[in-house]
Amino acid sequence: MKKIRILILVLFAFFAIFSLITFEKYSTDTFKEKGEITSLLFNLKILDNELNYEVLKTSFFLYQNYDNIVNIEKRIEKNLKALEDKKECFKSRALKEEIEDLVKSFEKKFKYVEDFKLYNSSIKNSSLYLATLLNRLNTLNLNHTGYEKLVIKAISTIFLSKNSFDADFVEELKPVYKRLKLYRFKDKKLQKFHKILTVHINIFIKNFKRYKESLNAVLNSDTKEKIYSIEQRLNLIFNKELQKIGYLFKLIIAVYFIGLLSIIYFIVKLDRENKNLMQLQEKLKIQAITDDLTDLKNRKAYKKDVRGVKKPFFALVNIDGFKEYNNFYGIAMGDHILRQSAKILKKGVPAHYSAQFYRIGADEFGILIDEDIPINSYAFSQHIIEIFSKTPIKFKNIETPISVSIATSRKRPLLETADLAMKYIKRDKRNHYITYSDKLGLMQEIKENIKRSKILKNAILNDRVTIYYQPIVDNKTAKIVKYEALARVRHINGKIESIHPYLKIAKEIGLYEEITKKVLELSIAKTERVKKEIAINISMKDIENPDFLINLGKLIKKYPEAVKHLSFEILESETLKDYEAVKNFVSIIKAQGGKIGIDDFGSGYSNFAHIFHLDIDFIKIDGSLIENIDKDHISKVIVENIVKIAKDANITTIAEFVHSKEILEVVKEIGIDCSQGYYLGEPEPFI
Amino acid sequence: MKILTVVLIFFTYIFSKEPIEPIPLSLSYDRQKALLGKRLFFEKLLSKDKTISCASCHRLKNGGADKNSFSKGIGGREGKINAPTVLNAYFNFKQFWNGRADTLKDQASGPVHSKDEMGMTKEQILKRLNSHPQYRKLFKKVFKTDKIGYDQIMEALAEFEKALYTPNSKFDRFLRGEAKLSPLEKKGYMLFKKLGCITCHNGVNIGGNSFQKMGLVIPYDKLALADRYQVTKEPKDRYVYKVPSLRNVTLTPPYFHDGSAKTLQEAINRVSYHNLGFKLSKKEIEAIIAFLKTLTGKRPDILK
Repeated sequence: MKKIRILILVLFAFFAIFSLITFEKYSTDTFKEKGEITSLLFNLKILDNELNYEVLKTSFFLYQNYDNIVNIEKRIEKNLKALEDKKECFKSRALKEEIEDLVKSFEKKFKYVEDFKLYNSSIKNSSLYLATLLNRLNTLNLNHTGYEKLVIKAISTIFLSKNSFDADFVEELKPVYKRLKLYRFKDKKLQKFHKILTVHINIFIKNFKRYKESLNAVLNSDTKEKIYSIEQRLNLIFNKELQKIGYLFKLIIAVYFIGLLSIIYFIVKLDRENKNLMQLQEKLKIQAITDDLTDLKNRKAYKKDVRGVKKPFFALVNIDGFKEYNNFYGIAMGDHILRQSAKILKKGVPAHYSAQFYRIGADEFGILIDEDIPINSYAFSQHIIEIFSKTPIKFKNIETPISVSIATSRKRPLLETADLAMKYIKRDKRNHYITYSDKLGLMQEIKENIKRSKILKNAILNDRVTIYYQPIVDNKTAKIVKYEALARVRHINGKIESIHPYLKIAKEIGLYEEITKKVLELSIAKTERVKKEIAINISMKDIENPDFLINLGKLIKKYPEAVKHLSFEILESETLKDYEAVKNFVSIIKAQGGKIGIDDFGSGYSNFAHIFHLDIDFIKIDGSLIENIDKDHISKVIVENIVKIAKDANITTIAEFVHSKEILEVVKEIGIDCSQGYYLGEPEPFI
Repeated sequence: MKILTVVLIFFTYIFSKEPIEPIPLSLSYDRQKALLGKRLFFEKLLSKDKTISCASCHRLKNGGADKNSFSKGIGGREGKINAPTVLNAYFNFKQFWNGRADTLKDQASGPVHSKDEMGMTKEQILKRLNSHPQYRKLFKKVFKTDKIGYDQIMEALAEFEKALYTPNSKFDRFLRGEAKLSPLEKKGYMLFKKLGCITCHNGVNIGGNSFQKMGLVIPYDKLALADRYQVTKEPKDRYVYKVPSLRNVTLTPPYFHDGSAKTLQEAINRVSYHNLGFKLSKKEIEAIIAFLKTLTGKRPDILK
């Protein structure tokens, strides 16, 4: 398209230049021709007049230089020749014929001029000589006065007729001539005079008419009319040419106009395309900062906008339990909830705040306001929470009540502080609103986390994660039957600390698996060496992790003697999901000669049926049930029942957190098989 | 009555300025071309039997004319008319006695083709000259062509003839006020005008600018040869010829179209008889001859 456009423009330019050149050439040629031919005709007119004038002058004077006539004729011939050369430039046949006619006319005229010269010479010769004779009249011996009168009459008549060009005088001369001819003289001189006189009078009479005719023929020749006629025809032709030039000029103007229009058209079109392009760009820009699902601005837009706000007020709105909706009803429902929530949110914030709405995360929205008017963040949040509670979301005839939690903040970085505050209230499910303040200590927690992650990383890097072993004692024999392997972090100053405070951060920064691996290796190697019963803690997560299983397999192969002495205490059994995976693990370990137990049994909601189906060897009753068992009646009842069931299922029971003699007594009384706790033995690095 | 005639005569005797003009002192022409024309003028190759050149008849030592009444052409054939002089021919309004050629270039072609004169065709001339290395060289120099053209030959000849002008005669100097005529010469000139000679013999060439009848008053007594009638076929043109120039007239006997007047005296006598109707006295002729002698000009530069 672009190429065609350029091509059209280039063609147009060429055409325009070509037509201009043609126009210029055509008009120049036309005017040049006209100029030349007009000047030729003008010359001819003047020369024709000059010729007439010269002929007249010649006729007037007694003698005249014929060269003048000849020269004029030559000049006329030259002009005629040029004119004849020019006639080929014209298409008009009539014009050519007229020019040829003019040439013929001039040829004829020149012939008349020759005739004139011929007769003029004879007439002048005679009149000249007659004048000479008149002078001689006195010298003659004249006795006849009548003769003298006749001579004078004849000569004067000749001069009269010559000067008047009137043939009537010649008629008058004829009888005089007749009478003169009758004279004969004896005087020889007189007779000679008489003879010459009569001969010349006779010549005059004979030639005068032709002389007059030839002069008239010259003066009345049609050359003038012919030149005029050619001029007329030329004018006609040139008028036509002029008209043509006029048309051509108009055509060129039209072509230029069209050219101009098309250029304007192209420019306008280009402009429009540019506009479209710019609109598209704008759209893309908007798209880039818009959330597709809710049509709110996205997180990117928030980051940009927040910089421009002088006095920001930010509210982070989280849909409570959104994951459950998604899981329970499907993604379509989840999307619907998000869309509706966005709408409710917009409705819930009064327009005078000029609030900006963002979708910050999966189930989190942000409201950004430049706080010109002080906002009561509690009332603000409460209003929104109420609107949500009053507006259940309907999807496929299912009405779902929605509740939201709101964390507001005025402290930059707004999103981060609001998020921290949000986490704070999420711990306590009864509370749906919080506004961030430094007093929340959340920032402190983050600092602590950062510090711990540093310590942990250092410890792993420098092999300062170590294992302590706490003895487990048989309640009947009071002998140590087993040790529980417990991971410890040794600080640079040698201080030993439990790994528990670090586990959460380890999970967050992805060090958990490494720690597990370390603990596993150290513990198994120790078991192989000391050939004593040792229990290792593993979590449900570990069992579900194939890498963990592969690693465990390798260690068992590496330390073949250890497995008979090993026990695995499964932590967090309440989160058990993949039942089959655990079953598999249990059967593998048991096939190798190892034992399986459940840690913290009785905490939270434990699915007894599930667990007892797993063919486990022991359970470790949760420490929270044991630590006050000597005083807490309910705990004691619960434990008694657990023990009863375990005994029925032939499962060994272990009590932890046995920190006093009293507790040990109760534990023994209930019939728990083994005990563990500070009263019986603290964790030690060596066994 | 006498008074009347005097008045009449006075009335009509209005003379214009002198009806004879001097030959220009210099005439511009292409010298190279003219020199080539000169060579061609003397070139016998231009005649069939290679015996005749232009110069054979237009003898430049004889005033550019022939001593014979009729010139001898190839094979000794005799022409039918007297060869006119080439001197000052440029100033003639037409060429040939009967004016059948308008220009010298047209004229030059005539004798070359004439059976009685040189008897050549165009092709023969071109063949001869083109096979002549020197001419090829000369033509190339003048006309910048490798092949000699017929037109170029004629052009060169015409250019040479243009150069054959004879300025600065005594009479011309008189006309320019540089010299005085002797009383006899003066008388001759006055007679020349008074008797009416001037009506035909006028202009630069003192003739050569009109056709006139031989035997205007008393018919000519010999046959008409190649007269104007041959061109116009009009009866009035019988015995009509181009008036011959009187320049260098003393150098170019014999006179008349038929070369029948052997001397100037005879020519004046006969022309006055036929064209004025009477014979002049000896004294008058003497005076006129004295005048005519003043018309002999300077030999053309190109002949030096």
